[in-house]
Amino acid sequence: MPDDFALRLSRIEHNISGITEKVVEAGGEVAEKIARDELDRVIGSGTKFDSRSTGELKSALGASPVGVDKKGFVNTKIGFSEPRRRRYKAKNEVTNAMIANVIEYGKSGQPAKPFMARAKKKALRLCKQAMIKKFDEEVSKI
Amino acid sequence: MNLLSELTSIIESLDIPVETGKLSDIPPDEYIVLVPIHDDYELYADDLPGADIQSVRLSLYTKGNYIRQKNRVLKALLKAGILVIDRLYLGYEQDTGYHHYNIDAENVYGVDLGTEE
Repeated sequence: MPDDFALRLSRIEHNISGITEKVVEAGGEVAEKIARDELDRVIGSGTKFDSRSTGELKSALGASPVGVDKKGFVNTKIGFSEPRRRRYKAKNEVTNAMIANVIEYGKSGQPAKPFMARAKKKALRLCKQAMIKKFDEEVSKI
Repeated sequence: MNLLSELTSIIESLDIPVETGKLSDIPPDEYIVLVPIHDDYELYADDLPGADIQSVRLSLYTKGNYIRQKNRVLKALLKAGILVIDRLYLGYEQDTGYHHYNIDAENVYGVDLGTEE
């Protein structure tokens, strides 16, 4: 093995945790954007009455900080922050996750609008591309 | 052939009312609503896709024994060669008395450019 190549591999190994975090973060950004677009598309669509959406659910959507999960994988999660704003009467009863769940899976009399399932499908390929691009970028810096 | 029509005929053969999008009638004691999740083309060659992947969400609502009904539906889907990618019991709706069970199904079809369907 050529010396410079071996040296580069060794440098990558030394910096791998930093690279992995940046790569996962890049994938998370793409996934979050797709989830936000999908949520935007379904909120207030096909409702019996005029939508009373305040935009709070959309603003609560975000990606968690990159961290290592129980299985040892570097990971980020797309989800909703809590709690909902205090001025709502139902502040103690309704959470953002609960509302998102009803939109995603529906209820009797309210059809499902599977925005997360769609986002997951769409994000798979685009996240991979973004992560590969970021990895190449980070490796080229070494 | 597409997944929605295939699922509709499978569920109708089980004598469960089924509709796509939402149920237009007064809801019976048990019914299924189909909602398309995602369609995707895969396996490209010569700038044309070779496979059409379709996924659909089945929302089963029943006031009776949901375990028996979901088992009937799942067995029928698996027998027909449809892939079940997710199964989830969402709970009992206190206000309406329905049990809600969710099944996500997926199937791969060939891309036939010869017919208009």
